[in-house]
Amino acid sequence: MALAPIGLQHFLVLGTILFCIGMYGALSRSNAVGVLLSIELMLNAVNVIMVAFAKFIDTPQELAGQVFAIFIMTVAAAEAAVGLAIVISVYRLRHSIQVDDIDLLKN
Amino acid sequence: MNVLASIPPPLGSVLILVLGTLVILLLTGRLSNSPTILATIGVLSLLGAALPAMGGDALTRVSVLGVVAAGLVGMLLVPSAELHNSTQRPEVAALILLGSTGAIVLATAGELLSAALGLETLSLSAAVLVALGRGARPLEAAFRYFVLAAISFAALVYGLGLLLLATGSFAWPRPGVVDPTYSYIWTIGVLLIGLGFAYKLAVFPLLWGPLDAYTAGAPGLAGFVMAASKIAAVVALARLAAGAAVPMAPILIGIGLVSIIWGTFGALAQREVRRMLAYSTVANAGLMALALGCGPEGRAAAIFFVVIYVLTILLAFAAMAGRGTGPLPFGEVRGEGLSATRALGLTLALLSLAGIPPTPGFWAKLAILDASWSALGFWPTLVAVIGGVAGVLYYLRPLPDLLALTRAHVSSAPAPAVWFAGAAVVVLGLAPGFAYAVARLAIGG
Amino acid sequence: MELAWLIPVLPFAAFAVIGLFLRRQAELAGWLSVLAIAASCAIAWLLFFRMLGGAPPYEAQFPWLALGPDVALPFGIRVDPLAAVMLVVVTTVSLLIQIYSRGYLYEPEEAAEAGTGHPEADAAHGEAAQAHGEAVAAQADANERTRGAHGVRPPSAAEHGEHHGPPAPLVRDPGFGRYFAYISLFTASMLGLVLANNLLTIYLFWEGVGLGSYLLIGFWYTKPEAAMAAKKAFVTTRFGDFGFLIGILYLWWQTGVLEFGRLAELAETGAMSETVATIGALLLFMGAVGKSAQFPLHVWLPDAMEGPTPVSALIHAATMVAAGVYLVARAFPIFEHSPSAMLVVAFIGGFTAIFAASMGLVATDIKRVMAFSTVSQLGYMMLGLGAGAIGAGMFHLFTHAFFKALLFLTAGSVIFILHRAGAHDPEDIDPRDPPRAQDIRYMGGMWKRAPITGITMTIAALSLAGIPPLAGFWSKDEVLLATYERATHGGGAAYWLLLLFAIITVLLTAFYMFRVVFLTFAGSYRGPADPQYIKESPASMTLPLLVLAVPSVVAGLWGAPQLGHGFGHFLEGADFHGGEMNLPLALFSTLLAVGGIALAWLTYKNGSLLAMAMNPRPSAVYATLLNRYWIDELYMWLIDTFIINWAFAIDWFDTHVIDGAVNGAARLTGSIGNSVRQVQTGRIPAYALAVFGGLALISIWAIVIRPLFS
Repeated sequence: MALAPIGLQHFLVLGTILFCIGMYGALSRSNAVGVLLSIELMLNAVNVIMVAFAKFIDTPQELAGQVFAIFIMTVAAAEAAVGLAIVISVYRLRHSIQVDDIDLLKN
Repeated sequence: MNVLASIPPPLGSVLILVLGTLVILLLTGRLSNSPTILATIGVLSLLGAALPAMGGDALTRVSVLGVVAAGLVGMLLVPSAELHNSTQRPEVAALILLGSTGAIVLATAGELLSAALGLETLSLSAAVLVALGRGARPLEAAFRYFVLAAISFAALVYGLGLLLLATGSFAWPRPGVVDPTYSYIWTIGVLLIGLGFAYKLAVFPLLWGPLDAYTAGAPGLAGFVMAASKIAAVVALARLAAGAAVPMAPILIGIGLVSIIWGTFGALAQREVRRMLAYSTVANAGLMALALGCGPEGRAAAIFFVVIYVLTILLAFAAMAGRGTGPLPFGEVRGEGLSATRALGLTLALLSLAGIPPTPGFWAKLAILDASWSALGFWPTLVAVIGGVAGVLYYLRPLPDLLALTRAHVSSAPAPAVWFAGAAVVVLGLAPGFAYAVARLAIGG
Repeated sequence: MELAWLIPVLPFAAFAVIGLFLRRQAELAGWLSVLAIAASCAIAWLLFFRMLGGAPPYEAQFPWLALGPDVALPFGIRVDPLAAVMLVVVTTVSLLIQIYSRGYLYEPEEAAEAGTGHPEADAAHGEAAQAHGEAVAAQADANERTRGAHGVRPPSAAEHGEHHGPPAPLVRDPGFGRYFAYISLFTASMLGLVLANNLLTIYLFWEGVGLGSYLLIGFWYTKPEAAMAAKKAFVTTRFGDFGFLIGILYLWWQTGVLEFGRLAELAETGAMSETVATIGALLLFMGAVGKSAQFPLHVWLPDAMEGPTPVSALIHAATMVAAGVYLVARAFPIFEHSPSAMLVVAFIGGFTAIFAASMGLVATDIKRVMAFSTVSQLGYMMLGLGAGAIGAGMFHLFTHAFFKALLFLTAGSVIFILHRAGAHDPEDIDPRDPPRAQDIRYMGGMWKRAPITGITMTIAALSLAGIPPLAGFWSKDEVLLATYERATHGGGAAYWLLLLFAIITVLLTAFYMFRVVFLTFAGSYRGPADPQYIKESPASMTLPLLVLAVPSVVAGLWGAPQLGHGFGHFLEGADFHGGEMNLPLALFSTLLAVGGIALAWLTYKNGSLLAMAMNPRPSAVYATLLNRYWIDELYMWLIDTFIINWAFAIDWFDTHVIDGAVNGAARLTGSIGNSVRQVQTGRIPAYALAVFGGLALISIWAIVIRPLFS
């Protein structure tokens, strides 16, 4: 039995699953670095979808998806840098990167 | 000359701001010890950025002038900003310029990809600006703000992908161009993009990150973050709602009403000025969201409102700047030792936020109520009116203590930011007509 | 006429100059404020005489905010007989009160520094008592017994261990400059309100008046009661303002105009439907109910006594509370267009009159009695308006302004005298121990020691009680007459009931006013201060009293039917249709007033107190009146239940469930190891739940529910 050829739907589903996993991780990881990684996963899920669009869709702006993916990678890099910087600062002050310990505003 | 003339006005503003940023970053070492020169360079860059916008359409003018005003107040407060490390002043100034750039791009972008980039530039600058405040509280607030901003940004780009699939382009959505087979994807895409923009507006249920940032950041910087974000978000949402009224308008109305109620009750429970202001921001964001869902009249009212609101809240934050990043409980306002100028500035801001005529806050609320009445009728307007009236209950709590302060001659550094924002608020209160006319033009009415 | 705009601008300029430059220059600030209001007063009188000479009404306006090409929100002023009368009253009363304030705002040196220690002796006497009300009564009881034991005089100062030797000299209140800034702002707002020619402008100044009163009532902001009272006043009136604002918007959306003149035209020609007129009028009336302290929003006025006494006089006589009545008079054509709205106005007014008077019967704080009297008299004004007689309502406002200002200033003079003599500082209120300087149970015997205050207060009280030929008699008679006319000419049973209310109120008014007069001036002194230091107030205070006594006596003649109804003709012009005096009615009400005074004399002639007032376990009726029908408690309970609890619930949700978007989620889901199991047990991170649950709910609302209704 031959597998159906891999089409746009498959990439869409893959992207959506990745996105949801990332979202879940970002909201539930107790380790701040884990949260940042999960956010990266969300952005990369979008990249998967974008590149797939560029491959499968015939539009006048064929390259839009590819270009967008590159943009997102840049943005993701910037985001990771800023996020890590903040996490490191938090670590210096609180000696912990457990998000549970980030609770000063609660009082 | 031809090349210069052919640059679109927003791009001109952006170029000047980026140039200013580069200058400041290159001279970091020298500028860190001379805050006055630093602030001067920043102010000049912002003023320079306002110039090209004058040649643009009304939307560009409103967005750029609003953001520049926010940037100016933030910049004037840089010398007195309460930072972790005072050698970081040049970085703060550069971040304010970058944040302004992002806000301008978000508001005036020709298509959604640029808008997303503008949004992210603004978000990252904002998170770092909050994080640079003195103490651990701003840092933690920044972390939360950052994480939630990143999640909503991811949702936005995901929506952007769906939009690309449905329409084949990154253009702002327009009614009637969607292939019916893709209309569901298009709707979800538009909603996710709206969610990304709405995070900047801090409406329910996207309020918890901004709430912390406004509460704990250094007042001047938090004020800038709030102001620039709100202007850009309202303009962007107005453009989105103009093109995609079908999924957006009712959702904006619903979100608006819930936010008004949530923010009002939340603010009533607070015991300190800064978190009260942060919560009241949610109620005000609700008013703007409500208006954004009310057709062209409503969008004009929302832009009118956001300009006035932003200047008012800047005045409030400018008046509190320099006192540290901690909370300011109602009972301790008198012991705070604010100078007369600051106390009067804060008083004016609170009166305007409470919507006491003839402060501009009154006109802004009136415009929104008018729009909401003609578009939605009685009940939603009633909720908005109640929210507005209840505002008095919390806004005016520190007032007698503040006015008593004006007797105390606590000498303090001159407060140019308070004067600037205060003058803007007074002018808008006496002559609101001009701002409203521009707001109408901006939405093409 | 073109000078009219100067009337509010001058005091406002005084406010700005004092606020910005003269906060420390107390003397200069006081003079500047007085000068500004004096100039306004002169202009007001000038305008008044021009109007009296038949000058046409003057109106000027310009667009302020253009909402759309053909819609503009205007700012404008209008001078007509109604405005002219109010301008004269407000500026004159305010001028006298400001002069008086310059003498009043002093306090004993030591009180300014340290809180006066409360006598231990009292605690010993009252140790059996527990609850607040009981403690007060029992304490008074104790004093009474002591008095009996000593035979002659109340417990002496030495016995209370409070003041030895002469009382401390007076020093100027530290907030002197601030006071004059506020009072100028307050007066300016009121004058602007009077001049407004449209609903939006009147609302603008309406809020200004509210703000001014907030600042003035909370003037002694360090005193928690004052801060609370200021807030209560602001919030309560704001509740009415909410209706007012909706009413403005409603009328605007329905008719497209805001000017009183054009609204009146629409109402009179019938272009405005009766439904619109009814809804609009009732919404506007909500604002008036709040500002004029009518039932059920009357709760703020008695507490507003926490401000300095001249402020109370200003609020009660000519400004603030008069604003509500003035609003109804200004928008009168709209009200007239709707019989049901008129009935509501009349009913609220008539009920408030008798309701407030009943609470005045038992109050023991001299200023509080005056406050209830104001609420009651405002009820009369509303009743007059609701009976269709704008002339009667405004005439009563006009005369009331003078004698009520006089009453308050005399009360202030009494307080000042006792305070100076060493009775408790009105600023130091221990909740368990009411201020003796304001409590009529601890006064008495001041007739000889403060004759000017005594005589002027008696004049004002006679005027208020409605004894002919004093001012209050004529205007009260007009109100009664209007109600009677309405009842006999198709008003129906409701107006007969209201007439009954009004007539009973005459008796109650005379009784409680003279209760105050006799307890204050007759008999012998019962308070803690040394009587030898009790002497008349300074000239800056007695002079305004004497000046105000003149209109309190003669102002009524202007509107007397026998002298040609001058007031009615001036106010209403050709529309005026006042009848002759109804002699039996006038005679009857006068007899009731005399009866009330006589009753008060029989009860209190020796300064003796009713046994009921001293009983630690008062009867149910007495306790109900003393606790003001427990309405304040009811409101507090409602607010607690429906607002505060909600607010704290949301706060709790935000700090404990949401806070820490990130960490809250992590805490709920647990660590990485068992997160899968947690998902299987159905736990969803709180933040995700909130965000996406919220979004889902809103989407359902937007996509499914809302289309059903549109």
